[in-house]
Amino acid sequence: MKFENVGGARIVEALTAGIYDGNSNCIREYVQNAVDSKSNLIEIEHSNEGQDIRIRDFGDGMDKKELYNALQFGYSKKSQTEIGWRGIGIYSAVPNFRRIHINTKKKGSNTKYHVTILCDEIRKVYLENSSLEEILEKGVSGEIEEIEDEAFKNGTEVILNNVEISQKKFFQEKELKNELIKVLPLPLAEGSLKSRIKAILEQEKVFEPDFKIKYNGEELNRPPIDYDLFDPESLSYGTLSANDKTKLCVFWALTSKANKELTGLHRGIIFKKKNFTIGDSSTVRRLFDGSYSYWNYGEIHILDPDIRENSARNNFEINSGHAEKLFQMVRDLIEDIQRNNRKKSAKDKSKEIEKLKEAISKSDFRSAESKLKKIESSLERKVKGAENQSLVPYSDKLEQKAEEQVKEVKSISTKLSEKKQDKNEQSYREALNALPLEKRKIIEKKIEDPANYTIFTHLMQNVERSLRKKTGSTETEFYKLMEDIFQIEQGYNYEKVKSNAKLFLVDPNFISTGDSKNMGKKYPYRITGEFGHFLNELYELFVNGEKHHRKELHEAFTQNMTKKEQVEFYDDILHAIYLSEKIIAASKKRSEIGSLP
Amino acid sequence: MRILLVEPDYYSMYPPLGLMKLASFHRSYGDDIEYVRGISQVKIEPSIINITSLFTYSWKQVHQSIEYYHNKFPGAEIRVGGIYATLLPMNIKKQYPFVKLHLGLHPKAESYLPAYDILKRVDKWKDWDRSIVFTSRGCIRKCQFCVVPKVEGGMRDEKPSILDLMHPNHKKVTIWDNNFLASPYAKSMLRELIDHGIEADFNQGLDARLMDEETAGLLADVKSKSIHMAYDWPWEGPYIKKAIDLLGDAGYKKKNLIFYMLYNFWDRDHKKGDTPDDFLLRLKNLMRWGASVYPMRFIPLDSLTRTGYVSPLWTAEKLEMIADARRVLGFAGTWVPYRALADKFIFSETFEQAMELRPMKKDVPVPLVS
Repeated sequence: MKFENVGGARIVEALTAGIYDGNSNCIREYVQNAVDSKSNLIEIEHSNEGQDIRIRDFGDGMDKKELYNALQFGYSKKSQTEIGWRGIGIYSAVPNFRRIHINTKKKGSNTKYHVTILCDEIRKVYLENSSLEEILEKGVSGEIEEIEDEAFKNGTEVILNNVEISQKKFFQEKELKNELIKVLPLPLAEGSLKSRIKAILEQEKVFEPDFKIKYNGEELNRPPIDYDLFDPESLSYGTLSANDKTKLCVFWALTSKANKELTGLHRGIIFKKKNFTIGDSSTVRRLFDGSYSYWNYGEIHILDPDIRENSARNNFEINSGHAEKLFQMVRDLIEDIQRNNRKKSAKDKSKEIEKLKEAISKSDFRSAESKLKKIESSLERKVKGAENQSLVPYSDKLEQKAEEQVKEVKSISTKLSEKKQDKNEQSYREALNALPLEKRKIIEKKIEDPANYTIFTHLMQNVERSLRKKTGSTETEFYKLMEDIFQIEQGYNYEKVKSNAKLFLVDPNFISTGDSKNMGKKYPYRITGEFGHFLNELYELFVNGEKHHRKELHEAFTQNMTKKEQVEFYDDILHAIYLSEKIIAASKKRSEIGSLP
Repeated sequence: MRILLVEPDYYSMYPPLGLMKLASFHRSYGDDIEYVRGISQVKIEPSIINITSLFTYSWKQVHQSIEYYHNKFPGAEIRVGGIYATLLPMNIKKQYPFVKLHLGLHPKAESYLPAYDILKRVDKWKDWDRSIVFTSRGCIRKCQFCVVPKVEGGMRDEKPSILDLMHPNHKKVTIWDNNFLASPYAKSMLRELIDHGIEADFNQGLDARLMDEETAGLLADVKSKSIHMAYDWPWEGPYIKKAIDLLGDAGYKKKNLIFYMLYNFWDRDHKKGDTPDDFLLRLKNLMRWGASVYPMRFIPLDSLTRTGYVSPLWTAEKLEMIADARRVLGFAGTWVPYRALADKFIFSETFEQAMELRPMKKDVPVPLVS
């Protein structure tokens, strides 16, 4: 086909930003043209195992002249009130597919027009720096064909044929569906909040599209698809206006019910213009520098026709004071929304309260207590909410919710301590009564009057006495001997105890079979980890314990224990002391051992 | 428009590539298409019926399809294309004057990616998972027995990439080039196959005379079950030996090199042809060199039967001996050089001895049933 004087000033921009966008946005371009052709049904179909995508409308269709003009780069007779007004739409899929076939038929006519665009030819010549006319003559090498075809219904059919391998992933059946739902002009999905959102938008004359879009036969709707994800009370809305009172946009936003980031189709707030999406959720998010958690889904519908999207429709042209003003206001809006998110995070503890109740019902008091503490401190915290008039109501609602929750938590707290008390007393008595009388007396005294009864001063004296009897040493000699045994000059150090305590030889011929570094090494003084701990504890009791924390140490141990657990703990210690006495009584004197390695 | 695509139900190992391309072509015009094999129920009321054809000797099923669909849809235009229609157009035209014939390739549909999805509608092909590609048309050789120089002519339309011609979901490819190695892009395409792990089937046979060390190395690295080449004349021996050795050295299993071996060919113009002794010589050579043999009986390009033609240098009995030996000694018609079979061929002094099958013992006692 012959091309002359094609295009205008928009070409360069279109070539660089528009057609080299590299993803499924191109489908949006064809749908835009279909919308402009006043079709009440647009079908998108995935065929030949995802190789081809077909976009079909049943609108006005084109005659030969109109088709020829559509193929002229950057030429469009459409006014800016229509959607696809740049005249490059027909070439949108050039980067993604090998061919684009167009079939079109005017209403009332019997003639179908067909033309094929060879995308790979365009890409090849484009790289060679050819003139635009040369590019198009290679790309649309055939003429427009006229075919008498009764079976073909009026309207236009675009067939994107043979997806490029590198682009395949963007055009998979499911991925494409989600992408289409994100970008196309669709009615709101049915659900609890639909009528309210619809009314908010209609008040500003933003109406639902008057056409249907089907994807592989299924009618598409726009999110929120799952209204249950959101706190129904969180629906906030309003308009933003410039200084000269021009209304720039109308917005609405929802907050996630769970204090959790939203994913997929419900993630973030998006710009819409004439029901088409401009950019994606990151376009709005990027306006705001601070941290923002994607807890919201919402729409900002542009009302001011002077705020225009760029040709790739991934952002706006900053060509007017109004666009600047809009960005500034949206930035503040997002900041405010995030303030409410933070407030919700602190003040909406319904999920945590559920978990707390569950823990109590399972008698898991320890975890219930820590949960309770966290909830209480969060609810007490002062958090500043949103300042924007449209968002203040939700902020107030969160405050109310918090007050209700504080009450609820208080009653739970009382209940918890009562339950705990009951359970502790009962099981403590049971555990104590199970012990022999002698032990019971000692332990009960210790637990009931911990400050005045030092269990170890009393009990360890027995061990000390048996050791002194065995070694025949005086008290001073005994402590000297302990230091000698553990070979520690100053203070307490578990590592030193472990490596220096030659007296407690376990296996003089131990050879490591462990990792390659130590393999085959001989460790004549190896002491097992558990035995090392035991030594450490003995040293602690005999040498250090006297000096300071014989009392404090065990108070520190026992403060988080229930009484029943304290009984068990002290019972274990008594048992250990009893065993120590036995070991000492049965052990040999140093003189009897002879020389050591 | 509504288009019916018909593949007559003749024997074939490959799905109808031309019809698949026509399906894509018609779809690009927004037409409704339906594909059937043989005589079948049709859902649409077609305005055009495209019937394909294959070898000349499978003419009968083509005629059946023409008659059936013409009777069923008398208003529809019937177009017949494919190999048989191209080689013997008058055969169809005389009998069915209403048929529009399409000779040779469809200039527009040829460049379309075949619509593999239509195969799902036919039981025979529903599990088909390989792409079929032509990376070139025509051939650099002009062998007298071959249809290619007559139908496609010299080497042309060489494509630089196989991947571009494949369905992106396919991991296997059947290459239908008449002479793949003669393409200037052969080596880069082999690298492409290696890089993407694609299993290739060089179904039409590679030109052993174009084998060099680099090509052999690449071929050995491409995933393939076997490599087909041809050994048609005794004078090609040294080239064949070299090709086998190169591929063997590159690590390819020699028994997976399968050589098409033409026999029963008679060149009417030059009064020349192969003989049973030629056949035996080539067979012995290939067995010695460790490669497999797939005998290919010559059928004249316009033959309406598969077995009718006998070269003046052959006899029907001798041709039958080869057929029997293939059935009994071959795997799917291929003689694989296992020791015993190779020795049998190599140590035979005559053609008859080589093809001889051990006679059935007639005096085997019948077991008594008590």
